[in-house]
Amino acid sequence: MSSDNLLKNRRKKQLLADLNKWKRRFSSDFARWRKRTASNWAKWKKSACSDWAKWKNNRSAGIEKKAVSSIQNNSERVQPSGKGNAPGTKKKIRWFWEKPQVSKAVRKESAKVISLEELNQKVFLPREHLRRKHSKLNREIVVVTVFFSCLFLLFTGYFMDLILNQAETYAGSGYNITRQDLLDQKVVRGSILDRNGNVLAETVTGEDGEESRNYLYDGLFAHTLGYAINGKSGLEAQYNYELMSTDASLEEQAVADFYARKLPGNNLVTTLDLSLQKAAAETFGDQKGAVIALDPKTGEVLALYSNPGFNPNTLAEDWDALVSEDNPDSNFLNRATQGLYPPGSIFKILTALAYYREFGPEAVDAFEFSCVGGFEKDGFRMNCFNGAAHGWEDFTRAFANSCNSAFCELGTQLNLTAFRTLCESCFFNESFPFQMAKTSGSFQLNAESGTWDILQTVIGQGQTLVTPLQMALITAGIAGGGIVMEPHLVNCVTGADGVVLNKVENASYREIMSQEEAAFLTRNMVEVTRVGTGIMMQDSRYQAAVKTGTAEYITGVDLTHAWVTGFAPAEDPQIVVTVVLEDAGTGSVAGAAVADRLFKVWLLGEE
Amino acid sequence: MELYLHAARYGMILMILLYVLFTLFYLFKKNQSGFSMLNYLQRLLLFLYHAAGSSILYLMTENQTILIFYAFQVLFFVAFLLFWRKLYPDSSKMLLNNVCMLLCVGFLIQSRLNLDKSIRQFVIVAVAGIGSLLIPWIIRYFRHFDIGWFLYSVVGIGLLGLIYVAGNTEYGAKLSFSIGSTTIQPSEFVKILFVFCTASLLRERQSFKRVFLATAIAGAHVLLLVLSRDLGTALVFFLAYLAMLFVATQKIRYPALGMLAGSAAAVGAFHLFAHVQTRVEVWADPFADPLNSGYQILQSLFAITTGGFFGMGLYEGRAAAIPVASKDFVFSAISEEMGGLTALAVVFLCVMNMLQMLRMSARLSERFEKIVVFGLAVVYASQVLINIGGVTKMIPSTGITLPFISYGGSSILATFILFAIIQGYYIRLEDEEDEL
Repeated sequence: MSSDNLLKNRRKKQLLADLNKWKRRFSSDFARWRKRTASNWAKWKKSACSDWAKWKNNRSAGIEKKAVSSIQNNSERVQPSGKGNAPGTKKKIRWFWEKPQVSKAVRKESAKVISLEELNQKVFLPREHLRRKHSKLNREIVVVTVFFSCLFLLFTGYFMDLILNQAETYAGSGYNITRQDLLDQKVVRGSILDRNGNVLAETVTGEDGEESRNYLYDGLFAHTLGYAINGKSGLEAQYNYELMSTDASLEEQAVADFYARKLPGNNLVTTLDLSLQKAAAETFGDQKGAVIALDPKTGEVLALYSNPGFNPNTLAEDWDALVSEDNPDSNFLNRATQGLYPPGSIFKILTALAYYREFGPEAVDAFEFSCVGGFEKDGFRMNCFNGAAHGWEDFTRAFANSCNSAFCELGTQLNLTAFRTLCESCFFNESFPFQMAKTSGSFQLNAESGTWDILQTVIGQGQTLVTPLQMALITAGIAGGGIVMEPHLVNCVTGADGVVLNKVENASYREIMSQEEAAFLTRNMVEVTRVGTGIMMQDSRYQAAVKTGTAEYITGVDLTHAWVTGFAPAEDPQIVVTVVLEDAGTGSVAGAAVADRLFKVWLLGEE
Repeated sequence: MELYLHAARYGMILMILLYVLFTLFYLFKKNQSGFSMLNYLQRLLLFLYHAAGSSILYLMTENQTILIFYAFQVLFFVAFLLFWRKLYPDSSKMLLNNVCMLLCVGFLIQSRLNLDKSIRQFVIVAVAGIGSLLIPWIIRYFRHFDIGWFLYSVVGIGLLGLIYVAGNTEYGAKLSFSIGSTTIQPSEFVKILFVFCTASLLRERQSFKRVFLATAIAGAHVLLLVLSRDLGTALVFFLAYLAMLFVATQKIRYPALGMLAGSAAAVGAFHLFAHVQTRVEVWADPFADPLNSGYQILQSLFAITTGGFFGMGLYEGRAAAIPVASKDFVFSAISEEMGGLTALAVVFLCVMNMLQMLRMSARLSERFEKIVVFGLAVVYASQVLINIGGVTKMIPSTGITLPFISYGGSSILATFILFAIIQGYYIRLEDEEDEL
């Protein structure tokens, strides 16, 4: 017990001693601090007072000046010091928001004219340089200050705008890929969705934190979505920046960045339709070729399938085989936009349009032709397909039968310069806006062309080459009453939470024909479905308007590309389909199967 | 570790913004020479900022040299602040602190871009910084700077002429000539001479003859610079001259006339010189030729916009990919890696410096001194403005350094001289007011 007390006492003592020591130290520190602060305070007060006195004396400088100049002409600058009287007189501290209140005593003192003796001392000091010219230029200085401050303010605004609003133009530029790759430190790449919100591609973070890009339908969308490993292509490349950026607020970004937490990137909503694309792939099977489906009213690309493609999920493993020179398939070529094919009979749409435009509806109505299976001019002979003789035909029958002989007869009457102009307005030999890599169709006919070239060209053979996309646009022009909408693949960019950030607006691109011309072609294309080569696509529930084609691509060899281009329903077009199948025989069979399926899926909701 | 890097990055942005805020308070303080808590806080922030930045540099590279270099930098800052404070207690503390802050940002970004060059830069800064202590002393005891306009103009025009005749061509412009292994860029120094020249010409009552003479001399400077294709510096001279003329004559019609003549000359130059046309075309549409003529400005814009407000972090961006990132385009490098906010803070510090310099000039009463300090302030402000405007595509890019931050001995030396001259006149004013 007592030992406990002893211990307690000792502790108590120790504590007290410590406390005392601290107190001593602290109090001496405090005293020193107080002293220093006091001296600083005094200094501050002193300088404030001296400033005040200076100001006060400046006011009375006029009087002093007079006094000085009466004695000595040279003396110009006299500033009686406020130093002497400042510490002595006790003054209220004036804060900057207070107006100076001059006490009576001070005013009296300042008004006092300084004595001659004082003047002598100050004026004749051995400091000649003090003779200065007084000149207030401060008004001008203020003007210049304001001018430059405004310029800097302007710059600040510009700089903020640059970072806030122009990031997409610059940071999102395709020339800035190396910097965009750095963004994956901060953002998980966003998903790509189809028009109904089905996820087509997403980035999955594994348990080890490793991220991988998963394409849910393997190669189904390979050519549109592209890939994001081994470089980037397709929409993955074009919308790289959008997918790698986030719409989170600056604070959220800062907080996430601070904790090294990644934010989800923006999502890309495409115009593609999953079921349509699936149907296209099913009907294609292993056949090479491409199909493209558009909405003629908006220009939205509903399906774009090119076969053979590649599987972006296994691209790294497949890469060497795909790019190998032994691989004849050109898997990376987007046949729908880059594949150049002879159009075959689907080009007769343009020949028909040219004839209608040049000779008018009466001439078309009056047209008559008797087909004997071939057409001869200047020693050249053009046969109908399979040498079939179609017999007597009017214009519509000739179009529906896709009669080569009749179209050679029509074509040889055409003004070639006008024909070339018409074709060039239909995207031949020129580029048009579309976000995928694309090639332009070529049309070589001109006023000097020979008969054989003319005969070949008017039925879609010879040197004429088109891409499926181009034919789809021309067909969309017919479906849209002459107006082609700008084709696009992207509907909008949304934030990770689904808020629409950047909507792609539908825009009309060009009027390629008049409304009457479109109606004329529609009439004829409907006949193709009803009684002509497109009979396979006739359906009681809707009326399709199509044109088939069978294009020879090597003279003398029996291999042909099968074409179909058309739209449905004819009276209110909802979908335009253009399909080309390589080495697949006739368009009226192979191509029709694909087109018919797509019409049914889109219009009737078949699965 | 990761967390520390992030914390340091955001901490740095916070610190420099706080620093700017203090500078703003300081600017509106009436009594700047006395004791001030703000002053100490600013210095504390300066050293904290420097330490945080250097620690990031070290952690990212694990290069021991950076630690030694850091120690030397701290030594320099301490010596610089101490010497100025002890030798010239009346100097403007705010300017001193701001110079140190800008130098600090400069050291950090230069070390990140190229450590060897940064060390060279540091040596020049140290020599120039300590050497500039001489200038206020010279100004105090040598008082006849106001009569030498003839000398200033002859030396200035002579140097610029020499550049035009025998300068090294760099990026299509003649800017410098070499003596041994060092290259000197005389236009940086001629700026100061030119301000003195104009001030001594316009210090007394301005007859038309005087104004005409001053204009002719200014025109000769600008013309030589345009011929040497140093358009940025030419613009600096032009702006400085107009501002000085306006303040000296107190007539708005002179600068207005000058602006008109300048615009006419700009249009003329656009039609006359192919390189001016190229610059303007690149400015109007940098994407026209993104891999050649537009490459530089696009890289700069990519850097700024990718970095955003908070930046990618030191060594985490691609700042080194910007052409001449260490010189003219240092602002973009700062913006990319240290954040747009840091870049804005740097701009604000420069604005504060300008305001402080102009404020000092307003306090001076003798015409010559007033015009000199005012002219130097305008030179400083317009140089900053033309640099940052150029690299952000606000105006066509012209090729000019950012004072205190860009790499380059001449630029650093000249800026230190400019700064010391302004301090010198200010110190003398304070001294004389104390004496009286």
